[in-house]
Formats: sequence, structure tokens, C-alpha cells
Amino acid sequence: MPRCSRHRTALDEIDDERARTCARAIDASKADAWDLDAVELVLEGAIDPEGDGGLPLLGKLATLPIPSAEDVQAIAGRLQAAVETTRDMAATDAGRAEQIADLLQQSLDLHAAQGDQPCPVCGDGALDSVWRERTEGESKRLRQEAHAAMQAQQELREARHKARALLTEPPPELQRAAEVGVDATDLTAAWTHWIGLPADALDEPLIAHLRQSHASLEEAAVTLRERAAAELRRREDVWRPIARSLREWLPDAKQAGLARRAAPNLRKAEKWLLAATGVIRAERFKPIADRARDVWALLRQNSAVALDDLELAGGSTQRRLALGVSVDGVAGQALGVMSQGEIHALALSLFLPRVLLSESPFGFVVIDDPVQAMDPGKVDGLAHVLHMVARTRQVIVFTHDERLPESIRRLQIPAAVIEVARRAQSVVECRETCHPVGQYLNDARSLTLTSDLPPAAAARAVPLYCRLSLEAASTEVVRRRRIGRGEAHAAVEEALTGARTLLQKLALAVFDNVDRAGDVLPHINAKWGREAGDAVAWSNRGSHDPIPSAQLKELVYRTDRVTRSILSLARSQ
Amino acid sequence: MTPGTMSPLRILTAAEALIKSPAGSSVGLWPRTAAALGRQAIEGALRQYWHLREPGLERCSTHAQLLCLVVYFRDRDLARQTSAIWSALSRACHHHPYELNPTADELRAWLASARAFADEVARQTDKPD
Repeated sequence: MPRCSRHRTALDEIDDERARTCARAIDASKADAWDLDAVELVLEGAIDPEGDGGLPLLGKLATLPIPSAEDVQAIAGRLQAAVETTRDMAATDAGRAEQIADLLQQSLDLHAAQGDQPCPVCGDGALDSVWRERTEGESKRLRQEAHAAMQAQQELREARHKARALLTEPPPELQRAAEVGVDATDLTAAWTHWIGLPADALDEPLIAHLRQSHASLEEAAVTLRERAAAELRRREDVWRPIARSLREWLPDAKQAGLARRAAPNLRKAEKWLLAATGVIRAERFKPIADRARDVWALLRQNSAVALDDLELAGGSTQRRLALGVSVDGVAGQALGVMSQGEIHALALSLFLPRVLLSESPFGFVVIDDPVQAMDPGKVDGLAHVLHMVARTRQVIVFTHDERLPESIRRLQIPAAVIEVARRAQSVVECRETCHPVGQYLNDARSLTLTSDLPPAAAARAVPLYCRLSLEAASTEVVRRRRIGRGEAHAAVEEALTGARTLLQKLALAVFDNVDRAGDVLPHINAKWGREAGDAVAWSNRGSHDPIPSAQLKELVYRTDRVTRSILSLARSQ
Repeated sequence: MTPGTMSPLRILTAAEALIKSPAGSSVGLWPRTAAALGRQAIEGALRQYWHLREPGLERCSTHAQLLCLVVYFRDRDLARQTSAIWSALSRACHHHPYELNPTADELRAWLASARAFADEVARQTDKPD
């Protein structure tokens, strides 16, 4: 599959895990072993985001997070503020203020319980209402002061913690940037600097570090993200055309996979079909081969070449007919030893059996000049073959050669010979020179003209030939009529064979009904005159008694007229 | 049978011998000679037949005799075949332009047909109806 191998080459050429996955999926040489679902998943964009492939890494690099500038500024500001607040309160001792506030509260409680009295602590002063009012304010102030100092301390710790929290290790992806060809030197350096602040650095340097170093970190991060995004785009540009062509190829590949799975069965089916075809062909060809041998046996007429077997050989586009022939009993190559005439005869032997197949829709066969180059013996054979074919097919032969009509006349094969003459301007004239009807009449006539023919012989022979001519005329009419109206040749011949007697044949010719033989003579007497009826009756009966020669001549004459009347039945229809 | 003439069957035997071993003197002549002998045998058998069945017919032309043979002879197909073989032998006896002499096989087949006829005639004339 060239398309597949083209894809393989394209996939192998690029460094992309999608390509690698697809290449693995279609690595097998057989289409049914391809994992096309995997290819489809890849084409749909389903890649494992946690996979160790380049694409997820690039994706992460393209969006690599760093502490945001806002956070950094805010936290730096907060720390700064906390530091300043704490510094402002540096004079305040939160502990002491708290203790004094406690002491004052106790004296206030004492005064509330015991009333005005001298001060139990210094002894000089007095706990009275003036003192009370002043002391209550003082106590409240002290407590607020202590609270604020504690809060400031708390805030400072929190801010410091937050600020420290910004100085985190870089994401692990950064170390793998080189794997996907992204230069991370700047960012790595910036990040090393970012987290490089000593852990015991004071607040002021921490704030300064945050404010100063973040800009270069961010700059380096933006650059790295751009590089990663560019690399992603580059890979996408390389991948897209391949993906497109894979997507186009996928339906075909699926088809191929299905087809591939079906292939073994199909191959078996094809093998079976071929074998079955061979058997059927041989079976169907057998009758043709048998007949071809029969025809050749008639045609060869003593040729030294014998046709032993015919076989359809070869297959698919190279088919041929294997001819097994032997010359004087020795197997040989057919065409090498055969004469032109024999080759013509062989061609006819192969062609005519097909014409004679009952499947053939043609009721006729036209053969152009089959006689040429044939030796005389084979012309007789050809006449016999054509006679055989003519039993079920109309046979039309064109020839320049006088030998075939001669042979047909000599062998008494019923045939109409029509001479075709062409005048100037291709005006064609046809003249029937020999028809069985006329031929039988000629035979009858020649017998009546034979001097010293024994009268007994003439009385038997002449009516016979007259009868044959009447039968030939009837047959001609029946054939023309029935075949003319579309009946099958075989059916027509069957009807003709069924009419055994002259009167039955005439009944077919006159009434188109073989069962009306009894009506034939009355009908002929009535229609064509008594003399016609007598001629038919006489021809049919013959005579064992000598008949005067003049009467025999009269019989031939009348029979001639009756045959014309019969033949006119065909023309009048 | 008139003394001094050969019977049709003996004539055929002679013709067949001629085909089998063409003697030196008959080189090139044997096909026509054998054909002529075959024709003579058929005509002789016809004479023999008519002599018994329809005296007088043997004096008519062979064509007429053959036409009548179809009427008289029991085996009508053999009669027709004999008629065809006689025509073939007659052609072979004469020279025709562009036609070759009959081959030995052809002659053998024709003579075999002639023999079938002569045999049948001999059988029928020995035991007349």
C-alpha cells in the first residue's frame, strides 16, 4: 500500500509523539493489524496531559506560572507597612503595658470594693474618685497600646512569612525545557537568583529583593513562555498537513482493514468459483467438443489429421482452445501440419457446433465461401455437414465455387441453389437454378426420356420422383409459412417429420393441418382441377403395371403444375 | 455371369490391391485406375442386379439405373450412397482442372462402399426373392 508507506515515511520524519503513536499504530504490514482507533484518538487531539510527551510539557512551559507582580508588590508593601508599624511601636513594651494595666485594674477593683482610701502601693497618694477617673482612662489606654503592639508583631510575622513564601522553587517542568528544545537558561538563572536570598536575611533586604528581583524573573518567564508557545506552533504546523492527510486516509484504511479481514474468505470463495467455473465450462463445452469432432469426422473425409480432443485452456484474460490432433495416429501440432483447406474445415468444425446449440437464438447460419482451398473429397464432406446443420437451421452459403452445388446435386441433398448475377450499377439478379422440387422433376423427366427404359421400371420410378417433388414443394410451403409466423425451427421440423405420407404433407401445406389428409384430394380436384388431383393420386400410388411413356410424360407435366400451385400457397400468404 | 468378365467383387479386390501396393509400372496412374475399376464394379453389380430384377434396365444409362435403384433396392440408403460413390468415382476417372487425384484413403473409403453394394447385390442375386 503506497499511501500507507508514504504516511509511514512522513510520520518517521518528524519528532512528535502524535506521529510516533500513529507510526506505532500502523506499523504492521497487514491492514487488519493496524490500530486505527489509536490514530483516530490522536487526530481528535486526545493526548495524555500527564504523559511524558513533549506536547504536555510544552503546554505547561507555555503557561509556566511565577509569583505574580501584583502579589509580590502587595506582599512587599504589606511587609514594609508591618515593619514601619513595628518600628513606630518600638518604644512600647507590650508586656509591661499589660502588667501595669493589670495592676491598675486590681487597684480599681479594690477602690470599687473598699471605697476611698490611701494608696496601698506607695502610701502617699489616695484612691479617690479623681484618681479613679484618671486611672480608668490610663488603664484603657495601656491595654489598647499592648494590643496594638501585639497585633503589629503578629502582622509582621505574617507578612514576613508571606514574603518568604514567594521565594519558591521553580516548577519541575523548567528543568525539562531542554528536552523540547526550549532555552531556559535565563529563567533558570533568574529563578536561582529569586530564591537565592539567604534564609536569615532581614526584612529590609527581603523587601528590596522582592521589589528588585521580580522584574527580571518575570521578564525571563515571559520570554520562556513565548519560546514554548513558538515551539508548540512550529510542531503544530508540521503536524497539521500530516494530520489532514491521515484523516483523509483513515476511512480508506478502515475499509482496507475490513476488506483484509474478509480477504481470506473471499480468496477461498474465488478459488471455489474458479474451480466451479472450470467444471461448468467443461460441462457446457463438452457437447460442443463432441459435435466438433463429429463435424470434423465428416469434413476431414480421409484427411490424415484426426481431431482427438478439444479443451478450453487458460484462465482470466488468456484463454485459448487447446486442439489435440494426431496425424496418421501420431499426436502433433494442429496448425503446423494442416493445409489451408483443412484449417478452413477445422474452423467450420469449431464454429458449426455453436450454431447448433439449442441456446443459440439464431435459426439460421450464413457461411461465406467455405469451399475455397478444399480438396474435392472434403467438398462432399462439407455438403454432408451442411445437410446435417440444415435439419435444424436454415443454411445460407455464398460461394464462387461450382463444386459445392455440384456435390449437393450429386449427393441428392435438398437445397435451393440461387445464382446471383450482378449487372452494371450493382443491379443484382437472382435466379433459382436448382431446387429439390425441380431436381426431382428433372430426375422424373430424365427417366421418361431414357429410351428403352423397361416400362415396368419407368412405371415405378417416375411416380416416385413425382411424389418426391410434391413432398419437397409441400415441405417448402410449410417451412415458409410456419417459420414466417415465428415458430421455432425445431417445432416446424417436428411437424414435418410427423407428416409421414404424401397426403399428410399436402394437408399441412394446404390446410396447415396434418389431420385433414382425407380432404386433400377433393380440395385439389375442386381448386386446381381434376387433372391435378389425378397427378397427386398417381404419384402417391405408383404403378406396378407398365404405363405408356406418353402418359408418364403427362404425369411429370401435371405434377410440375401441381408443385407450382402448391408453391404459390406460400407466396399468396 | 458372362464367361471372360470378372465379377464386380473380383474387380474391387484388384482395385484395392492397386491401392495397397502401387506397382512400379502404375506409379502416378493408380488413383485413376483404381477409380475406374471401382466404377466398373458398381456398373457390373448394377447389371447383375437388373438382369435379375428388371431385365432391360441394364442397357439404360447408368444415371437412369441409379435413379431406378432407389425405387427397387431394399436398402434405400445404400442405393443413395452407391449413387453418390459412383458420381465420385466417375469424377476421379476424368481429369478436372485444379483438382487433385483422390487420396489413397478417399479411394479406400469409396471402394469399401462399392464393395458393400456389390456384396448386397451378390447376396440378393444368389437368393432371388
